[in-house]
Amino acid sequence: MKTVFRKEMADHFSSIRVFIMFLLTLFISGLALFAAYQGIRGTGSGGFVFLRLFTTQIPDFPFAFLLIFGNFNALFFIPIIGIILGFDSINSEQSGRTLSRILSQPIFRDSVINGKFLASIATLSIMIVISVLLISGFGLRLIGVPPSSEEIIRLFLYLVLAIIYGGFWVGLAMLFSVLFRSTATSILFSLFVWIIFSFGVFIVALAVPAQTSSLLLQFSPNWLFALASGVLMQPQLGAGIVLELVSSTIQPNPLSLGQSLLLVWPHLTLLVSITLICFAISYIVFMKREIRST
Amino acid sequence: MRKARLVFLCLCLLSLLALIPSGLVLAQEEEVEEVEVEEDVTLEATYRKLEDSYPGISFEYEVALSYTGPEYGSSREFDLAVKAPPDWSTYITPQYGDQRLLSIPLKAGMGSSKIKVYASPPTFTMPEAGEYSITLDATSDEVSGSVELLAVITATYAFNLIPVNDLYSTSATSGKDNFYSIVIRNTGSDTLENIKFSSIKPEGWSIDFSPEQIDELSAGSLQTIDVNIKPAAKAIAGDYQITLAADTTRVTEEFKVRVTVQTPSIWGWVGIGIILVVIAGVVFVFMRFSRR
Amino acid sequence: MSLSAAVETSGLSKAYDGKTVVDNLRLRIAEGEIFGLLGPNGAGKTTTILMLLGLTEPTSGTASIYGHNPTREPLQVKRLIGYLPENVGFYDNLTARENLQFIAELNGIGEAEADARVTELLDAVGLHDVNDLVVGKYSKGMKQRLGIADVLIKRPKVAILDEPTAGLDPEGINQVLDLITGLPEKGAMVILSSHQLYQVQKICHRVGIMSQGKLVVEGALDELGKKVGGGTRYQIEVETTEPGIRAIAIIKKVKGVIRVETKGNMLLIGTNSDLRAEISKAMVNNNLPLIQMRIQTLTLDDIYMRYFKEG
Ligand SMILES: Nc1ncnc2c1ncn2[C@@H]1O[C@H](COP(=O)(O)OP(=O)(O)O)[C@@H](O)[C@H]1O
Ligand SMILES: [Mg+2]
Repeated sequence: MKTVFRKEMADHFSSIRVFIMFLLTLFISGLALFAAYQGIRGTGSGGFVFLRLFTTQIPDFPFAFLLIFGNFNALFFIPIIGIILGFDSINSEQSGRTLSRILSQPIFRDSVINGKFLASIATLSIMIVISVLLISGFGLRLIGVPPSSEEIIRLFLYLVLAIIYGGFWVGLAMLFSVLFRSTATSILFSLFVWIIFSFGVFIVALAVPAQTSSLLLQFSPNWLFALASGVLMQPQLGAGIVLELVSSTIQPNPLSLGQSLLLVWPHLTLLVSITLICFAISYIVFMKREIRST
Repeated sequence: MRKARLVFLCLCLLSLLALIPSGLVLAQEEEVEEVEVEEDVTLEATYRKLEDSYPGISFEYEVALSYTGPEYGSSREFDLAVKAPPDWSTYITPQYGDQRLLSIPLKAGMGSSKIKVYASPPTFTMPEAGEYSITLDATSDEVSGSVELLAVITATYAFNLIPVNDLYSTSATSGKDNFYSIVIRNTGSDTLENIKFSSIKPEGWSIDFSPEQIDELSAGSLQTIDVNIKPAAKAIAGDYQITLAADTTRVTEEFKVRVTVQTPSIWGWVGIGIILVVIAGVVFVFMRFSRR
Repeated sequence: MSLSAAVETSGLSKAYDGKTVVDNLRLRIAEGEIFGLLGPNGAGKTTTILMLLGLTEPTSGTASIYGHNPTREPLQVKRLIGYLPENVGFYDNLTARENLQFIAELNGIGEAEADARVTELLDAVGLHDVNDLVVGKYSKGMKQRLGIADVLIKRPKVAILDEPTAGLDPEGINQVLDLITGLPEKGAMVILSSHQLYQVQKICHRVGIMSQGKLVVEGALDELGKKVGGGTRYQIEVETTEPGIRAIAIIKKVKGVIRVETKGNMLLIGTNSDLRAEISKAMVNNNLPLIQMRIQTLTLDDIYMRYFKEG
């Protein structure tokens, strides 16, 4: 598995595709940072100043939310990166006729799929970590306020969350890459699911009664991620965003770290489980599959 | 004064009478009385004594002048002059119109002409509270008259609060002491007592004044106050607005200052450090994993 | 067959959706052999190979590679077998060297050792000059030779080559076959599948012919004709106007005739030597009209054609 992992990493880091994604990551981080900087300067010292770097938007700017790192960028770009890293992992080997050659080597079959999955996750994690660290570094320079230990913990948890979220998309894309022989089909299906989860689910949720919609939304990883990252990164919003309390005009109390954790726990486990389900399906299908080079 | 004049007039008449034979005097008396009308000018203020309705405002008096002379309808030009305490500014205008008058023609026996006398106390270093006398004289050769006007100045309490050198913006490092100076000047007419300083500031900031309080500031004098602006340790870099204020029991003055918060450079360096580490990390990752 | 069988199958069968693709296959292949698994397209050769490798599970029956069961001990089996898939593919973005190094690494071969082996093998297959070229730029023949290097990098005891010559030009075929011929010296027995007769004829010690999933004939090349022809080396075909019991009896009396069959106007005579003179003499002596006579040596080609036609 180590060998496969290393080879996949080498593939990723030698490929133009990943390089472009790196540039994209840098670009997005820069934009998000710029937006945060515009919105954050001179806004005092209250609350989680450092986290605000990731959640502040440019005031009075149309579509400003598009530039927020914490919610929007991560929510939308992590899936894309995950999909790109996963959609052709198995079927490209199949169409390149390398798979049967690899599988006739004395390795367990699952180490191929595991190594690929882990390499994609690792690449994705490196990108996310770089992005967060860059924003932190530049942000620190710009606002000059160091993060508190709680903020560091929150940021770390957010990273874990983002990586799990990315893991779901890698797993999903890999599932399609196992199920479909053609890379075009698998990327189409992945993007289709992405659109469904990003937009479709919300449209449907609006159409059906509230009870059903909240249940429905629980199955959207995007929704889970958005909620959990909200709780982690914007504790000042209070528990309302998760518990759907009757919204009041009273400013809610910020959540403590423990409370935040307690609140995101179900989301985190749900996210982990759907990721694992995805991976397990591709795993089982791949393990049972007869590998022919024709 | 008028009495004195009447007495004087009577004395003159009596002495004239003593010179003339009594029979003739009796016969002539009525005639003489008619002819021998003394030339005179009288000045009469509608309201003689005024109080300032507002500190520093100018006093406005209406004065009626009437001239009595031997020849009915004869005109005579009178020079007008106002005597006021030093540093007061004064001028005279007609009742309607804004010409500045230095003299006025009056016609004998033709009623009175009204003029206005304006007197403004000095604005800086306001005169102390009290009664000030302003005299308006109308003079034409030996004929003269005058009226004394009274201006009562009440005590005013006013001061100016401004930054030294008019710097309405300053910069400060978060979590550090940053000095800034303001000047207070007593522009009222009386001593100000117990001036306290205060500020409106963002959360977590501290703003200290030294001295914290001024017990007495006499009219017209000024004092510099050092202000120590210390932004919150976690204040985000950027522009903030603070308000500095001084109050006495009677007056309050305040102004706003823009404070550009700079952050301690150490965090800037830490930030740069993180960025460098990230870049090194990326390079390392690419070198470690890439084939080329 | 005299040696202990290194690769053995018994009753090996595979059915897809109830359609039997490999039917009750029994193979015994000894160490040091080059064994040709032949048959037309769709005969079940690849399926058999996949079962030997444990890449697909047999429906019934077992295979054994040096005593290991591919289904139950896939790792041991894969350690022993070097497999060249039909239409082998490499990572086009890697060089030949990197491709081989990766496989070496998957086999747990140390870096220095792997380097030495890669260099040696690239030399051996004549790709030394292009070893730093990405495989995407290789010709089909170069890839096939690289494939053989790829098989050998792990020093297998069994090399299984699926259609190693398919799609190559004659020169390429010769290069590949030369390489294969040298394999037993390197300690690897070879199982190669092909539907191309002449190559097999040249280099195989033994062949097995598959048709519709069944192994129809198996053996050394020179034995093969006999087996197919019912145990004789030659088949003499005699056309006569009176085929019948009398004709058969007459011919059977000729010394050396092993078997006689009739097929329409033809008499099919199995012999182990050229008995045309004797047979014609006997026929003439017994007033049997002889219209035409032809002798056939049963070559692999005939056998092959025969099963092709049937298949
Ligand atoms: N996955 C499959 N499902 C159904 N039939 C299959 C499958 N794979 C192969 N076959 C059939 O099995 C037969 C044997 O195929 P194969 O072993 O590849 O033949 P070849 O001798 O040409 O290598 C063919 O008829 C093919 O159609
Ligand atoms: Mg085949």
